[in-house]
Amino acid sequence: MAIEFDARLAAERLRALGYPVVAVEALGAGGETIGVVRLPLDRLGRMDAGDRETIARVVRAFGFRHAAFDLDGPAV
Amino acid sequence: MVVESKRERLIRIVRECDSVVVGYSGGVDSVFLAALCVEVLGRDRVLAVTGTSASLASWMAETARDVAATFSLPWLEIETAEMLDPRYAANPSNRCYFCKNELWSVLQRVARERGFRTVADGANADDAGDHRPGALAAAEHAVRSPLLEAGLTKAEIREWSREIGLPTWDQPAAPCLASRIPYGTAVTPARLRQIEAAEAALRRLGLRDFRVRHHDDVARIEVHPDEWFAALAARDAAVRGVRDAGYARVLIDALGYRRGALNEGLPASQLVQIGRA
Repeated sequence: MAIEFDARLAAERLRALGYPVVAVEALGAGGETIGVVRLPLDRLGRMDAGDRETIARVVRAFGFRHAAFDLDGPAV
Repeated sequence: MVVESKRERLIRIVRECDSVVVGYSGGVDSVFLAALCVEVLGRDRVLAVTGTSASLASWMAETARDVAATFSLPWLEIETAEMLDPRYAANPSNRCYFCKNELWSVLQRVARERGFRTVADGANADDAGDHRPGALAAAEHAVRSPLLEAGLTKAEIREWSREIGLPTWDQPAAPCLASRIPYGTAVTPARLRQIEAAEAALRRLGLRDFRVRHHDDVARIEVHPDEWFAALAARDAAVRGVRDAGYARVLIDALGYRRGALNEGLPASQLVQIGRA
Protein backbone atom coordinates (compact mmCIF):
# COMPACT_ATOMS: atom_id res chain seq x y z
CA MET A 1 0.00 0.00 0.00
CA ALA A 2 1.12 3.55 -0.71
CA ILE A 3 0.89 4.57 2.93
CA GLU A 4 3.28 1.79 3.95
CA PHE A 5 5.70 2.83 1.24
CA ASP A 6 5.55 6.39 2.58
CA ALA A 7 6.27 5.05 6.06
CA ARG A 8 9.39 3.27 4.82
CA LEU A 9 10.57 6.45 3.09
CA ALA A 10 9.95 8.47 6.26
CA ALA A 11 11.99 5.98 8.29
CA GLU A 12 14.87 6.19 5.80
CA ARG A 13 14.79 9.97 5.89
CA LEU A 14 14.85 10.01 9.70
CA ARG A 15 17.76 7.58 9.78
CA ALA A 16 19.59 9.81 7.30
CA LEU A 17 19.10 12.67 9.75
CA GLY A 18 20.79 10.60 12.44
CA TYR A 19 17.82 9.29 14.42
CA PRO A 20 18.09 5.60 15.38
CA VAL A 21 14.68 4.80 13.99
CA VAL A 22 13.79 1.12 13.89
CA ALA A 23 10.74 1.70 11.69
CA VAL A 24 7.86 4.02 10.98
CA GLU A 25 4.55 2.20 11.14
CA ALA A 26 1.64 3.44 9.06
CA LEU A 27 -1.51 3.42 11.14
CA GLY A 28 -4.94 4.31 9.86
CA ALA A 29 -7.13 4.88 12.87
CA GLY A 30 -10.39 6.73 13.30
CA GLY A 31 -10.28 8.17 9.80
CA GLU A 32 -6.84 9.71 10.22
CA THR A 33 -3.33 8.52 9.43
CA ILE A 34 -0.64 8.33 12.06
CA GLY A 35 3.02 7.66 11.40
CA VAL A 36 4.18 5.77 14.47
CA VAL A 37 7.92 6.18 14.92
CA ARG A 38 9.62 3.28 16.62
CA LEU A 39 12.99 3.94 18.21
CA PRO A 40 14.80 2.81 21.37
CA LEU A 41 13.10 3.92 24.56
CA ASP A 42 16.25 5.46 26.03
CA ARG A 43 16.56 7.67 22.94
CA LEU A 44 12.91 8.69 23.24
CA GLY A 45 13.53 9.68 26.85
CA ARG A 46 16.38 11.99 25.84
CA MET A 47 14.60 13.63 22.96
CA ASP A 48 14.20 17.40 23.26
CA ALA A 49 11.47 19.52 21.72
CA GLY A 50 13.61 20.32 18.68
CA ASP A 51 14.13 16.63 17.91
CA ARG A 52 10.43 15.92 18.29
CA GLU A 53 9.50 18.78 15.98
CA THR A 54 11.98 17.59 13.36
CA ILE A 55 10.61 14.06 13.48
CA ALA A 56 7.03 15.33 13.27
CA ARG A 57 7.87 17.55 10.32
CA VAL A 58 9.47 14.68 8.41
CA VAL A 59 6.66 12.21 9.12
CA ARG A 60 3.97 14.72 8.21
CA ALA A 61 5.85 15.67 5.04
CA PHE A 62 5.30 12.09 3.89
CA GLY A 63 1.57 12.61 4.16
CA PHE A 64 0.72 11.45 7.66
CA ARG A 65 -1.74 13.59 9.58
CA HIS A 66 0.02 12.89 12.88
CA ALA A 67 3.42 11.72 14.05
CA ALA A 68 3.59 9.77 17.29
CA PHE A 69 5.66 7.35 19.33
CA ASP A 70 4.44 4.06 20.71
CA LEU A 71 4.25 4.17 24.50
CA ASP A 72 3.56 0.48 24.92
CA GLY A 73 5.15 -1.27 21.95
CA PRO A 74 7.42 -4.24 22.67
CA ALA A 75 10.67 -2.56 21.59
CA VAL A 76 9.30 0.97 21.31
CA MET B 1 -9.01 62.84 26.97
CA VAL B 2 -9.25 60.03 29.49
CA VAL B 3 -8.35 56.63 28.03
CA GLU B 4 -10.44 53.84 29.39
CA SER B 5 -8.42 50.81 30.53
CA LYS B 6 -9.49 47.29 29.60
CA ARG B 7 -10.56 46.69 33.17
CA GLU B 8 -12.65 49.84 33.27
CA ARG B 9 -14.16 48.91 29.92
CA LEU B 10 -15.07 45.44 31.16
CA ILE B 11 -16.75 46.81 34.27
CA ARG B 12 -18.71 49.27 32.13
CA ILE B 13 -19.84 46.47 29.80
CA VAL B 14 -20.91 44.30 32.72
CA ARG B 15 -22.93 47.24 34.11
CA GLU B 16 -24.59 47.59 30.70
CA CYS B 17 -25.67 43.96 30.94
CA ASP B 18 -27.81 45.01 33.92
CA SER B 19 -28.71 41.48 34.98
CA VAL B 20 -27.01 38.47 33.51
CA VAL B 21 -27.13 34.73 33.02
CA VAL B 22 -23.56 33.54 32.53
CA GLY B 23 -22.78 30.37 30.59
CA TYR B 24 -20.59 28.82 33.26
CA SER B 25 -18.53 25.74 32.40
CA GLY B 26 -16.11 25.82 35.33
CA GLY B 27 -13.29 27.02 33.08
CA VAL B 28 -10.98 29.98 33.67
CA ASP B 29 -12.98 32.49 31.64
CA SER B 30 -16.54 31.76 32.67
CA VAL B 31 -15.63 31.45 36.35
CA PHE B 32 -13.91 34.82 36.19
CA LEU B 33 -16.80 36.44 34.34
CA ALA B 34 -19.39 35.09 36.79
CA ALA B 35 -17.35 36.23 39.79
CA LEU B 36 -16.83 39.68 38.30
CA CYS B 37 -20.53 40.03 37.44
CA VAL B 38 -21.43 39.27 41.06
CA GLU B 39 -18.89 41.84 42.23
CA VAL B 40 -20.20 44.54 39.88
CA LEU B 41 -23.94 43.80 39.74
CA GLY B 42 -24.61 42.04 43.01
CA ARG B 43 -25.71 38.48 43.72
CA ASP B 44 -29.38 38.96 42.91
CA ARG B 45 -28.63 40.11 39.35
CA VAL B 46 -26.42 37.20 38.31
CA LEU B 47 -27.07 33.54 37.64
CA ALA B 48 -24.25 31.20 36.61
CA VAL B 49 -25.64 28.28 34.63
CA THR B 50 -23.74 25.09 33.84
CA GLY B 51 -25.08 23.08 30.94
CA THR B 52 -24.24 19.46 31.69
CA SER B 53 -24.01 16.56 29.29
CA ALA B 54 -21.65 13.68 28.58
CA SER B 55 -19.32 16.09 26.79
CA LEU B 56 -18.54 18.06 29.98
CA ALA B 57 -15.80 16.35 31.97
CA SER B 58 -16.84 15.48 35.53
CA TRP B 59 -13.90 17.36 37.01
CA MET B 60 -15.05 20.52 35.20
CA ALA B 61 -18.57 20.14 36.55
CA GLU B 62 -17.09 19.65 40.04
CA THR B 63 -14.95 22.76 39.65
CA ALA B 64 -18.02 24.73 38.60
CA ARG B 65 -19.93 23.47 41.63
CA ASP B 66 -17.06 24.01 44.09
CA VAL B 67 -16.24 27.54 42.95
CA ALA B 68 -19.91 28.50 42.98
CA ALA B 69 -20.18 27.24 46.55
CA THR B 70 -16.93 28.84 47.74
CA PHE B 71 -17.73 32.24 46.26
CA SER B 72 -21.49 32.06 46.90
CA LEU B 73 -22.25 32.46 43.20
CA PRO B 74 -25.93 31.94 42.38
CA TRP B 75 -25.65 28.75 40.35
CA LEU B 76 -27.87 26.42 38.40
CA GLU B 77 -27.08 23.13 36.65
CA ILE B 78 -29.18 22.21 33.62
CA GLU B 79 -28.90 19.15 31.46
CA THR B 80 -28.49 19.96 27.77
CA ALA B 81 -29.51 17.65 24.95
CA GLU B 82 -26.98 18.24 22.17
CA MET B 83 -26.25 14.49 22.10
CA LEU B 84 -29.76 13.94 20.78
CA ASP B 85 -29.12 16.19 17.79
CA PRO B 86 -27.89 13.98 14.91
CA ARG B 87 -26.16 16.99 13.37
CA TYR B 88 -24.03 17.27 16.52
CA ALA B 89 -23.48 13.52 16.90
CA ALA B 90 -22.23 13.21 13.31
CA ASN B 91 -19.31 15.42 14.40
CA PRO B 92 -18.88 17.75 11.42
CA SER B 93 -16.27 20.51 11.61
CA ASN B 94 -19.00 22.91 12.79
CA ARG B 95 -20.11 20.54 15.57
CA CYS B 96 -19.70 23.29 18.18
CA TYR B 97 -22.41 25.29 16.47
CA PHE B 98 -25.04 22.64 17.25
CA CYS B 99 -23.86 22.27 20.84
CA LYS B 100 -23.89 26.00 21.50
CA ASN B 101 -27.19 26.39 19.69
CA GLU B 102 -28.69 24.03 22.27
CA LEU B 103 -26.89 25.66 25.20
CA TRP B 104 -27.83 29.22 24.32
CA SER B 105 -31.44 28.22 23.59
CA VAL B 106 -31.66 26.77 27.08
CA LEU B 107 -29.95 29.73 28.74
CA GLN B 108 -32.06 32.30 26.90
CA ARG B 109 -35.15 30.46 28.11
CA VAL B 110 -33.82 30.54 31.69
CA ALA B 111 -33.09 34.25 31.34
CA ARG B 112 -36.59 34.99 30.05
CA GLU B 113 -38.32 32.92 32.70
CA ARG B 114 -36.32 34.47 35.55
CA GLY B 115 -36.26 38.04 34.31
CA PHE B 116 -32.58 38.40 33.43
CA ARG B 117 -31.82 40.89 30.69
CA THR B 118 -28.60 39.48 29.23
CA VAL B 119 -26.99 36.14 28.51
CA ALA B 120 -23.19 36.23 28.41
CA ASP B 121 -20.33 33.87 27.63
CA GLY B 122 -16.65 33.76 28.51
CA ALA B 123 -15.17 34.22 25.03
CA ASN B 124 -12.03 36.35 25.20
CA ALA B 125 -9.78 38.29 22.86
CA ASP B 126 -7.51 35.29 22.23
CA ASP B 127 -10.47 33.39 20.80
CA ALA B 128 -10.66 35.78 17.85
CA GLY B 129 -9.01 34.10 14.89
CA ASP B 130 -9.64 30.54 16.13
CA HIS B 131 -12.11 28.23 14.41
CA ARG B 132 -15.20 29.03 16.53
CA PRO B 133 -18.45 27.83 14.96
CA GLY B 134 -20.03 28.14 18.42
CA ALA B 135 -19.59 31.91 18.16
CA LEU B 136 -22.09 31.91 15.32
CA ALA B 137 -24.70 30.32 17.57
CA ALA B 138 -23.88 32.85 20.29
CA ALA B 139 -24.46 35.69 17.84
CA GLU B 140 -27.76 34.18 16.68
CA HIS B 141 -28.94 33.97 20.28
CA ALA B 142 -27.80 37.53 21.10
CA VAL B 143 -25.26 36.30 23.63
CA ARG B 144 -22.81 38.96 24.76
CA SER B 145 -19.10 38.32 25.27
CA PRO B 146 -17.95 40.96 27.79
CA LEU B 147 -14.36 39.71 28.02
CA LEU B 148 -13.97 39.73 24.26
CA GLU B 149 -15.73 43.10 23.93
CA ALA B 150 -13.33 44.59 26.47
CA GLY B 151 -10.34 43.08 24.66
CA LEU B 152 -9.15 40.96 27.59
CA THR B 153 -6.69 38.20 26.70
CA LYS B 154 -6.45 34.86 28.46
CA ALA B 155 -3.27 35.97 30.23
CA GLU B 156 -4.99 39.09 31.53
CA ILE B 157 -7.96 37.05 32.72
CA ARG B 158 -5.62 34.66 34.55
CA GLU B 159 -3.83 37.60 36.18
CA TRP B 160 -7.05 39.26 37.33
CA SER B 161 -8.41 35.88 38.51
CA ARG B 162 -5.30 35.39 40.64
CA GLU B 163 -5.66 38.86 42.13
CA ILE B 164 -9.20 38.16 43.28
CA GLY B 165 -8.35 34.72 44.59
CA LEU B 166 -10.09 32.48 42.07
CA PRO B 167 -8.65 28.94 42.20
CA THR B 168 -9.08 28.62 38.44
CA TRP B 169 -6.46 31.28 37.64
CA ASP B 170 -3.86 28.71 36.51
CA GLN B 171 -6.22 25.97 35.40
CA PRO B 172 -5.34 24.62 31.95
CA ALA B 173 -7.77 25.39 29.14
CA ALA B 174 -10.36 22.61 29.01
CA PRO B 175 -12.64 22.44 26.00
CA CYS B 176 -15.36 19.79 25.90
CA LEU B 177 -14.51 16.11 25.60
CA ALA B 178 -15.97 15.89 22.09
CA SER B 179 -13.00 17.93 20.88
CA ARG B 180 -10.84 14.80 21.34
CA ILE B 181 -12.70 12.96 18.57
CA PRO B 182 -11.63 13.61 14.97
CA TYR B 183 -14.23 15.32 12.82
CA GLY B 184 -16.34 12.77 11.00
CA THR B 185 -16.15 10.16 13.77
CA ALA B 186 -19.46 10.09 15.61
CA VAL B 187 -19.65 11.55 19.11
CA THR B 188 -21.26 9.00 21.41
CA PRO B 189 -21.67 8.92 25.20
CA ALA B 190 -19.58 5.71 25.31
CA ARG B 191 -16.66 7.35 23.50
CA LEU B 192 -16.84 10.42 25.71
CA ARG B 193 -16.82 8.25 28.84
CA GLN B 194 -13.81 6.35 27.50
CA ILE B 195 -11.89 9.56 26.83
CA GLU B 196 -12.79 10.94 30.24
CA ALA B 197 -11.62 7.74 31.98
CA ALA B 198 -8.29 7.82 30.14
CA GLU B 199 -7.74 11.50 30.93
CA ALA B 200 -8.68 10.98 34.56
CA ALA B 201 -6.03 8.25 34.81
CA LEU B 202 -3.38 10.59 33.42
CA ARG B 203 -4.49 13.41 35.67
CA ARG B 204 -4.05 11.13 38.68
CA LEU B 205 -0.41 10.73 37.60
CA GLY B 206 0.10 14.46 37.95
CA LEU B 207 -0.19 15.52 34.31
CA ARG B 208 -2.17 18.73 33.87
CA ASP B 209 -2.06 20.03 30.31
CA PHE B 210 -2.79 17.26 27.85
CA ARG B 211 -5.45 15.69 25.64
CA VAL B 212 -6.28 12.07 24.85
CA ARG B 213 -7.14 12.01 21.15
CA HIS B 214 -9.50 9.22 20.26
CA HIS B 215 -8.79 7.11 17.15
CA ASP B 216 -11.07 4.07 17.58
CA ASP B 217 -9.05 1.70 19.78
CA VAL B 218 -5.94 3.88 19.64
CA ALA B 219 -5.32 6.67 22.14
CA ARG B 220 -2.92 9.37 20.98
CA ILE B 221 -1.83 11.44 23.94
CA GLU B 222 -0.84 15.03 23.31
CA VAL B 223 1.05 16.44 26.29
CA HIS B 224 2.23 20.01 26.70
CA PRO B 225 5.95 20.14 25.85
CA ASP B 226 6.69 21.08 29.49
CA GLU B 227 5.18 17.76 30.60
CA TRP B 228 6.89 15.52 28.03
CA PHE B 229 9.49 14.08 30.41
CA ALA B 230 6.94 13.68 33.23
CA ALA B 231 4.73 11.71 30.86
CA LEU B 232 7.61 9.44 29.84
CA ALA B 233 8.64 8.96 33.46
CA ALA B 234 5.10 7.77 34.21
CA ARG B 235 4.98 5.66 31.05
CA ASP B 236 4.03 2.29 32.56
CA ALA B 237 1.27 3.68 34.75
CA ALA B 238 0.03 5.91 31.93
CA VAL B 239 -0.24 2.98 29.55
CA ARG B 240 -2.02 0.91 32.19
CA GLY B 241 -4.49 3.69 32.95
CA VAL B 242 -5.29 4.39 29.32
CA ARG B 243 -5.62 0.70 28.51
CA ASP B 244 -7.95 0.26 31.48
CA ALA B 245 -10.15 2.90 29.85
CA GLY B 246 -10.57 0.55 26.90
CA TYR B 247 -7.85 1.51 24.43
CA ALA B 248 -5.82 -1.24 22.80
CA ARG B 249 -2.88 0.95 21.94
CA VAL B 250 -1.31 4.04 23.50
CA LEU B 251 0.72 6.57 21.50
CA ILE B 252 2.33 9.84 22.51
CA ASP B 253 2.17 12.61 19.91
CA ALA B 254 5.50 13.98 18.67
CA LEU B 255 4.37 17.60 18.58
CA GLY B 256 2.42 17.42 21.80
CA TYR B 257 -0.51 19.51 22.89
CA ARG B 258 -1.03 22.76 21.07
CA ARG B 259 -4.12 24.89 20.85
CA GLY B 260 -6.29 24.26 17.79
CA ALA B 261 -4.59 21.00 16.77
CA LEU B 262 -7.96 19.46 15.92
CA ASN B 263 -8.55 22.15 13.31
CA GLU B 264 -5.17 21.92 11.59
CA GLY B 265 -5.76 21.02 7.99
CA LEU B 266 -9.35 22.22 7.85
CA PRO B 267 -9.96 24.01 4.54
CA ALA B 268 -10.45 27.76 4.84
CA SER B 269 -14.01 27.36 3.58
CA GLN B 270 -14.89 25.43 6.75
CA LEU B 271 -13.33 27.86 9.23
CA VAL B 272 -15.70 29.99 11.28
CA GLN B 273 -13.95 32.79 13.12
CA ILE B 274 -15.19 35.41 15.53
CA GLY B 275 -15.85 38.60 13.62
CA ARG B 276 -15.85 36.75 10.31
CA ALA B 277 -18.87 34.48 10.82
